[in-house]
Amino acid sequence: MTNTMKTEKVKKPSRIRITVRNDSTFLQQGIARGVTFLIAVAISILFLWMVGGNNPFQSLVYIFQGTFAPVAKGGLSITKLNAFFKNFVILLGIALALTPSYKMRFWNIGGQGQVLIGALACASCMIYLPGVFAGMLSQDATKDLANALIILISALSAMVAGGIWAYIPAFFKATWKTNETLFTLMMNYIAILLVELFTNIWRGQKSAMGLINQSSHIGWFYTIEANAGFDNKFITSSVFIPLILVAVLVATTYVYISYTKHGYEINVVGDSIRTAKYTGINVRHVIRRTVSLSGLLCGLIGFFIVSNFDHTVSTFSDLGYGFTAVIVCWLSNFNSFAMVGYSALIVFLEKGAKNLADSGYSANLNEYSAQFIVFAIILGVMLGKFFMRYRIHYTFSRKHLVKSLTSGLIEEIEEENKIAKEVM
Amino acid sequence: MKKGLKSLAVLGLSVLGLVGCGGDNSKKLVVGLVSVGDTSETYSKAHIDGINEAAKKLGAQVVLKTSVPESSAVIDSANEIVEQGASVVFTNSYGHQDYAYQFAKDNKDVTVVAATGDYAAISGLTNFKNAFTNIYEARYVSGIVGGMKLKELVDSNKLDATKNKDANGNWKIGYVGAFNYAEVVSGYTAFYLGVKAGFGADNVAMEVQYTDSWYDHDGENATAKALIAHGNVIIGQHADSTGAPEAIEDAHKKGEEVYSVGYNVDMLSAAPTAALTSATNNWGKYYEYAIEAAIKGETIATDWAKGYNDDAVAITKLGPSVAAGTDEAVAKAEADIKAGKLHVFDTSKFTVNGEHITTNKVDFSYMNWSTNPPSVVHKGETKETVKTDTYGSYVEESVERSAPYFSLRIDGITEVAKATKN
Repeated sequence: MTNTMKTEKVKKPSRIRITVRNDSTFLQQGIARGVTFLIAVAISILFLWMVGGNNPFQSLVYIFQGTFAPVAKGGLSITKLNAFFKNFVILLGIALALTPSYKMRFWNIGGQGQVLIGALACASCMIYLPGVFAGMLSQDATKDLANALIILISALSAMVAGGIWAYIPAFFKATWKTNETLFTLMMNYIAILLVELFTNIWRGQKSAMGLINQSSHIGWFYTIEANAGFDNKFITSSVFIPLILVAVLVATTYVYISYTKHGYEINVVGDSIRTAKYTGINVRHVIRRTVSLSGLLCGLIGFFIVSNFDHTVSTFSDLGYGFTAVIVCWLSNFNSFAMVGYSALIVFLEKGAKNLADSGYSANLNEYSAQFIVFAIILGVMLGKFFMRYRIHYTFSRKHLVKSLTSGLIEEIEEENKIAKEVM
Repeated sequence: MKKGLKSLAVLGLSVLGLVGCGGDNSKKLVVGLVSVGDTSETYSKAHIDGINEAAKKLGAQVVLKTSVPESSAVIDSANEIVEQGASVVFTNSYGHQDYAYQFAKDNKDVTVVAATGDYAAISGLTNFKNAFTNIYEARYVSGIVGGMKLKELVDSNKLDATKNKDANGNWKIGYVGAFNYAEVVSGYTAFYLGVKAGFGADNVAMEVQYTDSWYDHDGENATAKALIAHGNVIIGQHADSTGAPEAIEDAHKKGEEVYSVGYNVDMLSAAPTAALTSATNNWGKYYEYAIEAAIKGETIATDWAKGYNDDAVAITKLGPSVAAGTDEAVAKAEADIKAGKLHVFDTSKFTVNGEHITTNKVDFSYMNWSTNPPSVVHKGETKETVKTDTYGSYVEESVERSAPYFSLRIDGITEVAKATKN
């Protein structure tokens, strides 16, 4: 009796089993990635063809031209490249900023709020500081020392604001083990509402706030000036300095995570809090320090958005990249060099989708439906990573599967049955 | 395999060919539009359709940039448009204006039009323009439609005096406004005066609630619900979604006597029984004018504002619920506006703090309101806007500047700050 009950308890095994794969070669990894990527591209083309109705390969040209566009005079559009780099810098910057938190397995999805609060702090400085420094500002204020001071204070305030915004959930997590995902998410909403509140006050009797210090340009971040002998539209654009800074940040993040004591502590806390405690790491301190650092860097990006790019603040100042950056972080396994590639891919696809929607290629494809391809391809990349790490076993014959899975168990049961019979 | 390679090569060539095609439009005039939304949003759709039709008619080429936020993206988009060979760039949102101005300053050989903007004339730039329609005329006429419906409801005793009348015995109407500034104030005042004219009596009071957004479907829906709950019978709007008409249709189906007067597009698909009509802009007229001027090599007007006389504004098809005789009343009002006999802001038709006004000076400076006190960005003149002709005294609108500047708060209208979203 007991034996039959035992056999009934054996669950019907699934035809699909997933096991971790440790033995994949570089070639296999490449194939897994390449094939899934190509499938994603094929699905995207199919989608464009089905929805758009026109030659889908032409749509690929439009997507390509979202970043690399020919201009009427000949050559490639510098404006489009610069616009690409602007989004790229912001996305990569936020992803890098979030990396220390994620490496520590602190699920900070508050990038948006930390960027926005930094942006708001920067905007406040640009609005109120010219009044404070009025005596030190001349007619052509951009060349004044006081203006440099205003820019510096704006940057510091933005960093402090972003840091505080991240410190609050970190403090609660470290002290009372609160859930950081929900907490940082809620902090996003508070930041959005604060930006809404202040922009609503600052716009006064207009329907939009417009540029801050439109005529004086006070607090506007510096660009390299063009002169008679030198006028390179890329170097004199507002993306050039941020690009250099973000390149430095890529390297420092890598070094910080991989080769410093802080990086070591972050890794240990991320792997196991108990191990961290045994090795004498002050876990609470590390959590607070690391997450604040993330927030501080997000705030700095907020500063660049307002002072360098937009010269105004709004609830979409972060371009929605507070969340997209999380995807970049995950895709790249927190490797800062891989983030460069993934950020570029996502921005390239977004720009392409937008260009496709504007091209008049098909009336059915607006920006949102064109965005489908962005997600399709990101999904393809994710699946590629999945196949690289896991092996999927599929068995066509269930009988065979049961045998292979439970062979040991069945033998054991048979053995027991024998003994039972003998006893009876 | 070989076949595959061949077709790949063909694809490659065709891609190159297409890339090469990019700049082959040297003879056609190229114009560009930087639009705040895309065709899924009524206001932007009106602009996009308008410029496309005008360009088609006049043989110009359009470069379109949709869903461009009110940020430095405007300057990027304008640059891209110019790279495609355009010499005229239009932007369609008020919040684009500062960037359009900046772009115009840096690109003196490009004509930049900030539609609905308000400081081209005082900006000191000759290549920077503004344009607007005299939408207040159409709002007044749409108000007449609402007023006549209100009269029909009152006459047939369909309204509840305890709910639909305020303490002073005024019948209640409502308005979903976007922002508390001149463009909206001018619009709702015109609508209110239209309702009173259609109603044929003065005992009408209007409640205005703001959403603080030009396009916020849920916010407009919630605001309309609040206005319905307050007992307002006719609800107008100056916001770009179908959120309000949908809320009104819902209430209407549940037996409430409440009707919608929309904006931009015919709201009959959103509210088949509750929609009376909508005030609408015909931006195509402006694009036709501007593109034609550019083709002929003429200067585009610094401030362009046209109304019924140039078919730049209209009201949409009347809904099935309108009162009898509405057609005739609308036709008469439109004819009178065209003939200049009817002034929308006739000073004998409204009071401010209980008195008829005789003067209203407007400062046309462009202000920065974030400083305390507000500072002047572009200095404009202060001008008297009360004018008198053979048909009486009136407050002039959209003549000194294309963007509306009637911002008097007249008696009978109450403003309520932003409604709570749900």
